[in-house]
Amino acid sequence: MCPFLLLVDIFLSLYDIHMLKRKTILLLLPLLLSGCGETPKAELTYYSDFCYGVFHSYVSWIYGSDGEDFSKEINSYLEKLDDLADPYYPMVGQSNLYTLNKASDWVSVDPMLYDLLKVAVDLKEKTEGYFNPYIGKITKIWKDALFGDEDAEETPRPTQSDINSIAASIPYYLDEMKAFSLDFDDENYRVKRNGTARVDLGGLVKGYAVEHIEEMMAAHNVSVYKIDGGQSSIGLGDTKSGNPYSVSLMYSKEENENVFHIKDLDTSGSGVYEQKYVLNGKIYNHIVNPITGMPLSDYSMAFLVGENSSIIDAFATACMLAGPDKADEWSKKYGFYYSLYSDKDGYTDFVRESEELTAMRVNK
Amino acid sequence: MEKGKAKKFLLKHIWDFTLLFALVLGTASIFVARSIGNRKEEENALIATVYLDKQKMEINDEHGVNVNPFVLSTIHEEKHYVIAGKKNNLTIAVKNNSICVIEAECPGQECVHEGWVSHPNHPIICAYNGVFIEITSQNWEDVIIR
Repeated sequence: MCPFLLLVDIFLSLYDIHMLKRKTILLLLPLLLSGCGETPKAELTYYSDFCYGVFHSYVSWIYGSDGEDFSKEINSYLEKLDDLADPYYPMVGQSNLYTLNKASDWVSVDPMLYDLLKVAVDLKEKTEGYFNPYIGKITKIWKDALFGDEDAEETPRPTQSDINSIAASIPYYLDEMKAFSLDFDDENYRVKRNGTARVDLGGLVKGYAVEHIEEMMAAHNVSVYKIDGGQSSIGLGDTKSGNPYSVSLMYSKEENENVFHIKDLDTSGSGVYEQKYVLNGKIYNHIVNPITGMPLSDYSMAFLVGENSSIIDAFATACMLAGPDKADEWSKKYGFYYSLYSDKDGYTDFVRESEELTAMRVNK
Repeated sequence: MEKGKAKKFLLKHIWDFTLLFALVLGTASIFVARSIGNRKEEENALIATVYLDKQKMEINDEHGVNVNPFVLSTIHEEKHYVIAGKKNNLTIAVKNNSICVIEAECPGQECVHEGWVSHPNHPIICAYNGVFIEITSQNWEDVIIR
């Protein structure tokens, strides 16, 4: 107990007793108050570590705990999730997303992957298809064309003619994607593909991971933490000082233009700035619109704040692609806040945002 | 209340009021002291740590002393270090409060294109070579969204 609180307690209980005792309390006051400089939070130990994986991004975390270091537990979880959700390489002795994408019959999967797939399909419905986990083939086609194979020695950039040729083939893949579905067997954790499209969980896996790590924090009674999923999905708990976190958008023109005070909430950003290729004034980027099949967007960034990292991760992509009217509708329906931007000379240019997020701005 | 009675009441409770005043003053002092302490904490060091395949690398200076992690806020002149990635070499440079990859033999060159980085939580990644440079500060309450 803080000595200050103890003192108040003593003061109240002695209020009506002899005056001399009150003098004694007063004499003891400096001694008692001297202990108040140390808050319980200052005694916490901070851990930080990172996992380079989760779809070629990284997840780092830092937390305050007066208990054991459970970073290894987090690391093991991330490594397993990374292997299970990998669409490019198989996993030894176990089915993963790669295996599922090759199968035409029921496949038994780990409960972790099973849950991730169900969350993805649920979010596809909620976002009205603007987040679509069945977009794997189209994403791969554009990724290879625009950014090349990362293991290749050279990355040739496509010409307008190359892009036109790819765009001409997209309607076929869109039809394939629209005809595709997954069946789930809840009792046996089995999944079956209906169709030939390929599942890709890249737009969700970081948010899903952050959400799960937050559950681990809660299980270990940790309230002071920050979980950084590749700087796009970030879970924020309390801070050591008790002040909110200062969250800033990297591609703002002015340093303090888009800074928000946030704590005990999750944030997610979806933008065109990290992987982009500009040709004839158009920004081709790594986010493919599942409605059009094109890696183009009228908006350059969506920043979302909410209580569930998985949900806002998928909706960040959806809001950026669908625009402000849908973002307004979804934010009210699913309980998150959004801020939407278009591009102006390589920087974010404000379009519209939730009133609640405006209230969190440092410079309103 | 009459003037005489008020004076009598004040005199009777003089120690109560003194104690209350001391408590309020003491509490205010603590809040001011904590606020100054927090501000000092925010001015703490900026640190860059270089990892290869999740393992902290050993990067030696000309005297054979491991300088990784780099305390960027204490570096006063620009220095270059050649490190071995998974496939090729990279040259990293450090100067006051900044770090960058100035040369890398990787196809994408994304790590080089990051330029000088001085923001905590802004990593430099060379996926091709498995190199990850993490920049942190004691002020981990700053968050950057990309």
